[in-house]
Amino acid sequence: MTVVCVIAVAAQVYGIYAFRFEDGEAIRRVAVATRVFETGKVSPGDPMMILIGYICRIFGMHPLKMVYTVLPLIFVPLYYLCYLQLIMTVCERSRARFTAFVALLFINLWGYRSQLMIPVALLLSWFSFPVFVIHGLIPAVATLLIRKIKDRPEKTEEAEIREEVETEDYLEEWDMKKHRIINARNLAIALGVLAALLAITVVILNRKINTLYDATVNLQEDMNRRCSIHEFIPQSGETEGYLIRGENGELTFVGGGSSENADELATFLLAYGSGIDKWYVYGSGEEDAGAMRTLTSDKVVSADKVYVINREELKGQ
Amino acid sequence: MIKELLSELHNTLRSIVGDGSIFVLHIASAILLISVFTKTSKRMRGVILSVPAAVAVAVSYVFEKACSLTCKNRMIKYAAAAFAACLCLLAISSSGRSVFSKELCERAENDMHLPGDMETAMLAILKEDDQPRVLVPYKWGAYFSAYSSRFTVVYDDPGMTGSDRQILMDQLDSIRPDMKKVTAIAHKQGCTYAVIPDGIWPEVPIDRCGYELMVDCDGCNVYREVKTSR
Repeated sequence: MTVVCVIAVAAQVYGIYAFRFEDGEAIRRVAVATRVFETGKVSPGDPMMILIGYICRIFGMHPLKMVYTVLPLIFVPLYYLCYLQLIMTVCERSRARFTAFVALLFINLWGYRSQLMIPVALLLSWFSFPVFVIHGLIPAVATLLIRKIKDRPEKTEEAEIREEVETEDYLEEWDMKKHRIINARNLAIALGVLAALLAITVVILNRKINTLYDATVNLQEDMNRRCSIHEFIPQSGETEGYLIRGENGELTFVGGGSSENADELATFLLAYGSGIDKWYVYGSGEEDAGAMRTLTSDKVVSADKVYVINREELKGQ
Repeated sequence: MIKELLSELHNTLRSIVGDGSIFVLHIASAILLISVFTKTSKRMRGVILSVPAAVAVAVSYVFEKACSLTCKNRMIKYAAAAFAACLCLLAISSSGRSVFSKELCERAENDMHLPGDMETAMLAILKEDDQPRVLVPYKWGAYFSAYSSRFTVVYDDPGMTGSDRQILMDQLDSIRPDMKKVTAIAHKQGCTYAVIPDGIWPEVPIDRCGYELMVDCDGCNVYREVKTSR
């Protein structure tokens, strides 16, 4: 049975080494260790990662390599040892211990589905502080607590139950006799329910308010993005073109002027995108199309289609 | 309003605990331990602190009860064993995916667990720029941050608005992203480099939106922002 457990743990360690979890969220914490490794400076973050960063700095090994090659060999068996101690303290028979340990092995393989649980999944985030607390510290503390309780002389079961019941009954009877409706128990229940409702309401309303705020904070900017016209006025002070952004993000530019405007026009256009879908110029000469030719030939801006407008003024009768 | 509040609470809980399997396991095992074993052994209560151990111990104690010679009633014995088996099945089936399932994991290609040839892309960028600002798909941001603290990934910029972040995440996650929207935000955030994975087919390629190809890696391409020459 010991051999089976050892092989199962070894297989899980090998699985950590050989497989890459696609999500990538689990290794976000490693950025803290990398920062410590590269700069030597401590910044707020996961304490385990800070320690790992310093260890990597001493050994000259990149934190990512340390996390995926060295640490699984140390931490995963260590966490299972903590659980084993707890199980051996609680379960007396070897068959029960074996069953509990095997159940634990299975739970670590199949027990996590929520995205939020990734930071505490043993086989995904073995290097993080929450895993150290949940899978290492808590079982160890539970083991010590249980051993301490076991060492205390136990009263006989009957005497203990009698004592508890007598104390509780006496207090309850006194309180209930004095106040039938407004008594300590009812007040406690009512306050507890009220506090829970208030807390839930605050959390939910806060989320709603934040959602509304996020939706509206950029409303004006979003509206401008959808369908807007922007005027191009170079330093000369005269309007030399108009940029029209359609609802689907299509960019149409009319005008441009001579190549003297090229730099300013480049700055203006690049703020909205470097690809113009349709460019209308007023003529094919340097005066009307110079800027367009300069920018497209230098590949600063690209134009899918260019049209020449015949800007002939019609005079009324 | 109560209905809305309850609905919102339900959604919040679902998002936190997924399908609730962990809580199911914890509650089931805690109830089992408290109701069956409280009188005989107080030390069991300490085990409830630790969720996985609580489940494991609950399972083992039920099996032990089933196999115990002190349990006279055969029906109780078999029911206990069946309950333990059901608890295991519940843990496995309601928890869904295995940690090492195909849809979640694939073989690691290097000892840093970086996908594809990402390290080549990272080194190429770091060779050119000491403090590069990069645009990458959201899932890759963690790798860049973990590889070097010199990278500033666009999503980690506190000045970025929530709507811009959402647009980038949605667009770069799709097979046919709108590169004009993506590069508009990238230019606004001052992203000098863009790492675009293979397997996407934008209508307008990024090299027509103010970026030029710098390095062609296996699995991704690195683009550099085209600066105005004048």
